[in-house]
Amino acid sequence: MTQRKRILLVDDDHDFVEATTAVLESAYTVEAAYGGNEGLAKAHASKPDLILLDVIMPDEDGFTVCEELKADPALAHVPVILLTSLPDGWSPTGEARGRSKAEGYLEKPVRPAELLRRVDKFLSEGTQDR
Amino acid sequence: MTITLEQLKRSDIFAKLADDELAQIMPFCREAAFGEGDVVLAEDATADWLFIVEQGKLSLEKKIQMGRRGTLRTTTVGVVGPGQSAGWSALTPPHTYTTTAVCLEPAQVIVLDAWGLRRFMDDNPRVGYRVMSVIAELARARYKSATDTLAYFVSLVSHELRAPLAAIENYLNVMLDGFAGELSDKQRRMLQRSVLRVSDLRSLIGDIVDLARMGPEQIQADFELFDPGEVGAESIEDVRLAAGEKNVRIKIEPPPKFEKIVGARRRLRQVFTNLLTNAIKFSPSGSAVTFRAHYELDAVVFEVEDEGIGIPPDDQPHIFDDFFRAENVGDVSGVGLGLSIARKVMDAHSGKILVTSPYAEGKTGTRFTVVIPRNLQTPEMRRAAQLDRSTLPGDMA
Repeated sequence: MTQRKRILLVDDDHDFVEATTAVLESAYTVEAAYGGNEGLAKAHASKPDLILLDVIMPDEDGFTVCEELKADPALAHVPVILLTSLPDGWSPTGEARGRSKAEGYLEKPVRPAELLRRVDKFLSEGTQDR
Repeated sequence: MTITLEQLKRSDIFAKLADDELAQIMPFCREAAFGEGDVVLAEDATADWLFIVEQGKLSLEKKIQMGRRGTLRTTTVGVVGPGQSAGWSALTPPHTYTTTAVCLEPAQVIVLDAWGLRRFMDDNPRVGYRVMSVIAELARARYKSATDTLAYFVSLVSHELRAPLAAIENYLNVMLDGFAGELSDKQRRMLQRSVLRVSDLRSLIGDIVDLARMGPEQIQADFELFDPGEVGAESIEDVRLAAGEKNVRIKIEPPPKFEKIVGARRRLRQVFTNLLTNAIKFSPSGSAVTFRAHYELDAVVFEVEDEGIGIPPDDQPHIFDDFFRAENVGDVSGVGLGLSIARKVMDAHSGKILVTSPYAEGKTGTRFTVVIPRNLQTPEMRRAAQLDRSTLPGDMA
């Protein structure tokens, strides 16, 4: 049996983490971090196969965390999907997305089927899905 | 009782004037008393008087109306106390009051004849300039406080209200899709209702925020290359629950093959979802909503057709206005922002959104047509084109 892929879920909203973990656990091993700094530390320690990263967090925001991940040769190849519940202007499209170099983004609330489809696509292709 | 120089000096608008200048203003002043609840000046009335409060408080109120047929309400936009003034509009064209001032507690005020004061300021431009600069300063402060409040409100609404709703919706979706154990039919039905109500609320909040800050530049900054078929499928997914609930069938007629286009992906999904949601809302149970697309040489065209109540001809020119709701909507929920946002999105795409109702003879129902040009450019493409322009003949941008 092949080993399950590992996903790091970084979000300060505990409820979002619990609900999303329930979905991802059906197919993956999930590790949670509840803030930007904790997310960076766990990414370094466990080298996940994919990172789901919230944009607005109290300590370090998702754009900054993403930039730091992409600047690190050991983690730069790990696909990052940004998560946001914000409407226009703040959504990680256009300039911010370019700056953050994230591979994709998902809008909250995330539908279980869509989440699994997007994550699976990244993990099987390891390329941009847009 | 005569008014003294000291009384005038204590007012915000005349504090910077010299005694001899104040003495010349005095003839235009008289004192008046108002009781609690008295209307001192009324919004939209001709502004003949300027008021300086000596004692007591006036509340400044504005009429607000949600939609053309909404109930008229008033909201307090400020409170004016001793030394402060009300009715500045009396000094600037078109000389109509922009608010209503109501006495909050028994008040003593100085009433200035605005016609006399204006003539005096015309004849004494140096004094006029000083008075008007103070008014400009006061108006700027009031405007700044209003825009700060609006910006704060928008940021609050956009994140603080949407984030918890998104968390709730996540839990509901996770349960509905069976990731938290088996559900009874009754539980499933209640969760489905909850998802519908929460997502209605979330999109309403989104619409209000969008209205406050959605400009064409913001939409165009999001332009990217994408498959419109995927977006269409996502929109159908957005309304799947609502359609099931209403027992409305969605008929899909896609083109033989979808080709990628440039546009604001998320915004177009919002447009399709909105049109489909409306179509379902106004459809009778058991009817069908048709969602079709086809390619033309220079555009991709989407159509959403329903067999619903239709839109009265008199209302059709207004349906894309902010907060407009047609005469025959009855008690179907909504605030009338979806179509105005859809129009803004399509304008930013140099596209079109059109309504035909009825679209077939002898039938009811509405057809919305969305036309998206195929020659749009992403911000990256625009930048590259600008760089190349020096080497190209003529203006290719």
